[in-house]
This record gives sequence, structure tokens and C-alpha cells, in this order.
Amino acid sequence: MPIIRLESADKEIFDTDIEIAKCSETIKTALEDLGDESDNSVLPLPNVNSAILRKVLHWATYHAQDEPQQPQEDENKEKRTDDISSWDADFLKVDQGTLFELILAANYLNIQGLLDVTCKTCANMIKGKSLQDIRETFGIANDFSAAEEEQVRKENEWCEEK
Amino acid sequence: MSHKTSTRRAPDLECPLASLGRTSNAVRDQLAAAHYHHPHPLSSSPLDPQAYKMSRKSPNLGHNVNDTVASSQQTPATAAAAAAAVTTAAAMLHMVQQKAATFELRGRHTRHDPSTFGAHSTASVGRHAQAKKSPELQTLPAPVTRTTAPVPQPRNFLTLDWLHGNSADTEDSSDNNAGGANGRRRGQAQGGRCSVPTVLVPCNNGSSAQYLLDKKMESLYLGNALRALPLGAEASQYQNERYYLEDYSSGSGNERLPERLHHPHNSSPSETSGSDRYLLNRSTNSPANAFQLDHHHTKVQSLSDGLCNLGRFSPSLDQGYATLVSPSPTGHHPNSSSTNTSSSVVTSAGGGGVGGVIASSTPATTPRRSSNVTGTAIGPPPWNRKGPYRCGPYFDRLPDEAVVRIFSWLDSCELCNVARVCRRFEQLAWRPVLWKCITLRGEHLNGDKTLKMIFRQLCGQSCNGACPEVERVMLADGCRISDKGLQLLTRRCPELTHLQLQTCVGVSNQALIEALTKCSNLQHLDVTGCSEVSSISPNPHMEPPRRLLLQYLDLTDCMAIDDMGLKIVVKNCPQLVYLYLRRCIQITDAGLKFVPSFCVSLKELSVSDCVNITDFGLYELAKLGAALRYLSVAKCERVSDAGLKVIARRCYKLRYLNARGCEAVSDDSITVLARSCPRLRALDIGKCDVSDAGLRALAESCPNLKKLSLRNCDMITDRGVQCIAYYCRGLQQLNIQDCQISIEGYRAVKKYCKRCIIEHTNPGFC
Repeated sequence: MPIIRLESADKEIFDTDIEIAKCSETIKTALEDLGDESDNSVLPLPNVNSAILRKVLHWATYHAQDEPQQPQEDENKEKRTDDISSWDADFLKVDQGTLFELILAANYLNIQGLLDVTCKTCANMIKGKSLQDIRETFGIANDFSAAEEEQVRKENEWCEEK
Repeated sequence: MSHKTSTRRAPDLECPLASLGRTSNAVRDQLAAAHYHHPHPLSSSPLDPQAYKMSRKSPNLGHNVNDTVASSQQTPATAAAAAAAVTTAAAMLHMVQQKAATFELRGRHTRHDPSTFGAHSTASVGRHAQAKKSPELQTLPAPVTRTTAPVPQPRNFLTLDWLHGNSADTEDSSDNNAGGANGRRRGQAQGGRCSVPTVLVPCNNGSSAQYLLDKKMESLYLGNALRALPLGAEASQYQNERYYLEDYSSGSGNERLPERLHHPHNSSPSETSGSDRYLLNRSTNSPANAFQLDHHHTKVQSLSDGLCNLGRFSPSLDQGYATLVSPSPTGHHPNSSSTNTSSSVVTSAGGGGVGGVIASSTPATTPRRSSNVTGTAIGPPPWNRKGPYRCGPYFDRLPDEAVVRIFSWLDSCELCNVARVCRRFEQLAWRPVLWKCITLRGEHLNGDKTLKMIFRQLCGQSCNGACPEVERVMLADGCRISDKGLQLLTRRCPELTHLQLQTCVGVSNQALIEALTKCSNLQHLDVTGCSEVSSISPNPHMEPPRRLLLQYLDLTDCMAIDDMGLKIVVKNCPQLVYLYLRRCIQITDAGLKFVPSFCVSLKELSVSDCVNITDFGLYELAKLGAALRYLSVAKCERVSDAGLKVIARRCYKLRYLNARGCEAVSDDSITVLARSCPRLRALDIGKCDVSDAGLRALAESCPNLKKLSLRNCDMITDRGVQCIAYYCRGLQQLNIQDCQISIEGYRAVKKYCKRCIIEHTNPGFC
């Protein structure tokens, strides 16, 4: 089993099965660029720290056998966020900081499956919440001026008429 | 609460499945016997080897051929005479005979090699030519091709396989009145999700008591979750016949994401009556087990997964508040950012000038914003900037594309809500890419006003701006528009491909004609319940005259459509693949005649509740031939054996048939159907005059049967059900509500069809 050595931002080395690492488009491209010289060379991932990389690799190992999704299907299927598998749901029982780091890592490493499931989880945290709840949940400050806020309220009030 | 919970928890030992891993000597012996002797359900003694031997033999096909041909000679002949189509009768007769013979051959062949049967049945259209030459060829894989006459392709041609998967679930509902429209849409949205796990992991009974307790709690939780379902949705789904039978007419329906989970809405159909325990027993597979299996993940994702995620949140997801204060792995402490953000409030509220600067520095995503731009300096994007413009500690770290990606999972209403959270969100929420599909649901929305507000944001203030990005507009569940709204919509969205206008009673036929003329790319149109609509066509005075590219058309409950209207519809939409005319009560056989003459590639057709349809209408529909995969004649009470037999013989690739409530349908036509259409996957013969003989024919000839509804069939007994259970091991749904089925029949299904969900009304079944 060929191994690739991934180095996280805090210099920890992860020996990883190359096939598993290839679920990341970024790593895959990097490996293709390296060609044969990649034997035992270390691939630095300066944007991912070791805690997050460990989680990402855990996810990738579990999902290594999944069939790749058809992009066509993505285009056509309805937006569903309640179809997260139980394993993924358990995997993502993490604090918000980790969740957002995972989104960032998935985005950086370009792992579509992980990006989808983390974004869905995050969308689920937004769904059904009131404006104020969303701000509180994510610690977002209301940076509208009073006049702007009124304008934005008017523009979007239709979805509240109940 | 009391009833359901108690039936679910108490009688563990009664259930044959529950006994699989536990200790019930009687059941164990029974199972052992079954293992060694394979007793045929119809044999007199379960251990009688003679009977077993007999039962394993193929049915006597030679005899059946004669039988079938003989009956085929009679029926079409009399029918044709009645129809005064004497000239064609002889030719047709010959064909029917030939075909019947072919089918018998095929039936024999497939029985030899049942394992390949499933494969080729999901495969393709247009293979029967090969099949006629040599039945052996059937086992070879063949490309999916269509034999129907070539039709011009639409400009933006999308493969409609997904559509098929989706629409397949929208069973024609005959019980379903206008009020059930909500449930129907929802049911449709969850199309093809009945992918019951493919691998059954045996119960690990070595697990600790704690684990069992957990499972019990889980069941309780599930029970509560199910009860918490919106009543309306559940009730209407329950009535909805599409809910019982799902179409498997194209392989695509099954191939879609095998790991897709059961959705609660269609995973427990009989929740309103005696619910099937099997459903809950399955939950032992996960999630804890799945976790242990880890690398040897078997893709077993039990129903509980979907149920846990019921509604919008799984309990595990909604942890926002608790985790707000926990330190993040990067050491970016929320406290520091909260000081940041509070200062941002001060700054932005402080001077009007700041707002302008912000607007100028953010990407000009909406015309409205860009019109405010005063400065020319384009700074770094906001998430990279330190300073007063941060909108929060977590979202701050994400680049725009990641936030847009999160937003892409929100629907139109939720997008508008997040647009009010902060400036950055507002910018991002109105990115056109998020508005490809506008979905508006619910009585509380005023469709006209809502669309106006959305388009004002998307297209700017000018009255002729267009939003070419918008491809789908779906209005449902009581969100309605009038002619004015439709005009606005078609002016703004010329590239529309999907349009759904449910129960828009205010939309006139003229406005719809204009819309169809403008949106020339439209492929999918659902005007369910638009009572003013009397036909579907582009402007007839256009030069040169143009046909529509519609492939999917749902005219359910369009009461104004009559025979002439239907003729115009089919004439203008020659590419139709899916056509639903449920409860178009004015339609008669005369109108139905036009359907096969214009829409040669029609795959799915429903005329449920069109009470004027008779056997003569079915003779016409039979001309669709092998193209037809899905037909519903539910509650067309004047349809009888004669019509169904002709359909069965000519549309031999039928995978779904709904003849519910056709009380004149008997064993006679069901037997022909079974022999002619071995690909049949879903059948609803509720209230039909069918007995055990019909079921036996089905069992022997249709090994692919996945869904069967026998609701209200008085003549069916345990023997028939046992027979079905024995031969159709892949059964996934069986409805025996209001039947004379005892616990024996029930147990047989449990025993042979491990994946079957049984819907019944007998509280005695465990």
C-alpha cells in the first residue's frame, strides 16, 4: 500500500494511504505534479492543523469506498439537508469552531463529500431560526445601520407574513 | 401514544423476525424446517417433500401458452367487433398470438436463470426485437436505447432520468382531493428514497444490556418523532396512492444514491393504522453498530437515521449555543471577536459615509448594491480584512464561496432571512447562483408580491431586466400567483426550464399560453389544480408555428380540460414522456385516442379518476406499446378485464400498474398481465375482483414485484399471500389492509420477504 506523508500546519506528520489521501482533489493534483518523486516525500498542508487533519483523514478513511457522486444529480435533486448519514452526524458532533475549521479544510483540500456534509450541517443550524437566533448562534453582530436595517427588512419581509 | 407504543414494544416473541436472534424454540424449529425443506406455502404439509418437489418445478408453460392464446383470440376479437374495427382485427390477432408465445418463451427462460433477470429487466427499452430472435440474448447487457421515433431535441436538453425517478413516486392519487396537494408534492420530492438497506446485518446479540436499552429509547424517540409529523401531510400521504406503490419503471430510480436514507415520510406508511414492527426492529443496525463496523461499512443505514433527522434538526446538530463559548482549535477566542463586532456596530452606526465605503469594497453582487457604489477603490475581500467589518468569529474565517455553499442548502425563504443578519450575508444571499431555483411554499406567501420582491433584488429596479439564471420556479402548498405574477415571471425568467404552479386558480389559460410562448425552454410544467387551464399550447398565431419542448406535464385536477383541450395539448407537446391527467373528469375515450397518435415516447400516463374512460380508451392507449412503463387507471370504474388484457399484451414492458378500484378487473386479466409483463414491479389491485389464483399467477411470473397493494380484496386468503411471499422475495411493500389475511399469511411474508413493510389493519399482528 503506497503511503503519502502529509504534514499539518503544526508540523505533525500523517502517514496516509495514498488512495485515501486522493479523495482530496488538492492532494491528488499535487501528487500528479510531483510524479514519481513523491516516494517518501512530505506534502505540507500549511492551512490545516493536526487536529483537523486527523478528523479529515478519519472521515476520508470511512468514506473511501463510496462511489463518487454524479454532478448531474447534484444539479437536479432538491435541496435536502436531512439526509446526513448517522455516521456523518456523529462525526460532526463537534463544537462550532471545529465544524468551521472542517469546512475550511474541506474547501482548501477540495473534498466535495466532506464539504457538502459540513455545509449541510451548518445550514441545518441556520434553518428554522429567527434572525436574532442566527446572530446569537454564530456570534454575528448586526452591522446594519438603522436605516439600512429597515430597508433590508422591507425587502425581505415577504417571507415573514404569517 | 398508548396504543402505538404498546403494540410496538410489548409482543417481542410474537414477531417472527424478533425471534431470529432470540430464543423461541417453536420458531427456531420452524425456521430450521424451512431451511432444510423449503416447504411450499401451498403444500398441504410444510414438510412434505413431494409437494416441495412439485412446487419447485416451473409452472406448466406449454399448457399456459394454449390457454393464453386461446383467451387472446376471444377477447380482442369480441372487443374489436364491438369497436367496429373489423379490418384490423385479424392482423392484430396474429400479432397478439405471436407475442403471447414470445412471452411464454421468455418466462421459461428467466425461470432458469432468475439471477440475471433482475439485471436485464432494469436495463433497457428496445430490446424486444433481440428477445424475439433468441431469448438467450436477454441475459446480455444491452445499452439503453429507445426504439421510438426520433424527435427533435430541446435546446437545453437534460436527461430526464432523474425526473423519472422523482415522478415515479407521485402515485396517482384517487383518494387524494385538492386538499391533498401538499402531501403529494412532498411525497414526490422524496421520490425513490425507498432504498431499503441492501445488506442485512444480523443482530449482534452479544451487545450489552445497555445497548438494548439504548435501542429501546431510540424506538421511543422514533415513535415520538413520527407522531410529531405534521398531521396534514401525513394524512394526505396516507391517502395518496402513489405513496403505496412506487414506480420502478426505470433503472435510474434505483440507481440513485444507494446510501440515500429513508425519509420518515415514506418509511412508515402505515403509521396511522397498525404499524409494522419490522421497521423498528431494523434500527438495531445503527448508529452505534455502524460505528463499530467502521471500515467494513456495509452501507446499512437504518430507518432510524432518517427518522433522527426528522424535521430540520437532528438532535446532534443543533449545538450552537452550547459550543459558542468553547475554545476553537485555532485559539481564536470568541471573546476577542465579540469586542471586534461590538466596535463594528458602533462604527457602522456612527456615520453614513462608512456604509458607502463598505459597499464599494465588497464584490458587486447585486445591481442594487452596485448602484450605491461611490468609491473606486476595491479593497481585499471582507473576510481577509481586519477591522470593523467582520460579521462574526466563525463565518469570518470562511471565504465567500464556502458561505455561498452553506447558503445553497437553504430555500428561498431562509435565504431572505439570512439576508437580514448582517451586511456580508446580505451580499452573499443575493448571489444569482443561489436563486437558480426559487421555491415558495405555504399559504402565508403571496406569490405575486413575493416574486416581485425577489426579482427586484435579483434584476434591479429596471422594469425590463431579466434574470437568466433562474431556471426553476416552484410554487406549491398554497403559494399562488395570478396572471399578473405569471406575466412578471415569464418576462423576468426567459430561460425557465421548470415551472410549478399548484392550485393557482387565478391563472387564466391566455396567460399560460403567453408564458409558454415566451419561455421556450420549458421542459417541466406542473399546473395541478389550475382550474382555468383548458389546454397547453404556445400562441397559435405565431409564425412559424412552434411546438413545445415539454417532457413532463402534470394536469391533475385541471377540470377544464376536455377532449379537444387534450388534443391540443398532445399535438403541441410531441416530446411528452410524463403525462398526468388525474381527475380531468371531462376526458373520454375520444380524447385519449389522441395521446398515442402524437406522443409516441410517452412513458408514464395517469388517468386516475377519469370516470369516463372505458376499455375502448385502453385499446387506444395500448398503441403506446413497449414505451409505456407506468399506467394508472385507478378508479376508472368502467375499465374491465378486456381493456387491461390488451394493455398487458401490447405494453409488455409495463413496470407499474394501478388498477385500484376497478372492480370489474378479475383474475382473468391479472393472469394475462402477469404472464405478459414479467417486468412488473409495482401493482395496485385494491378492491379488484382478484382471488388467490390471480396472486399465484403474479407470484410465478413477476419475480421483480416490489410493491403490491391488495387493499380491500375480499377474496384473497392466506394462501395467495403466502404464494406471493414465497416467490417474490424482493417485496418491499405489501398492503393487506381490509383483507381476510390471518397471522399465517402475515408470518409468511415476514419469513420470506425480509425487507417488506406490511401495511395492515389487523391489530392482532405484532
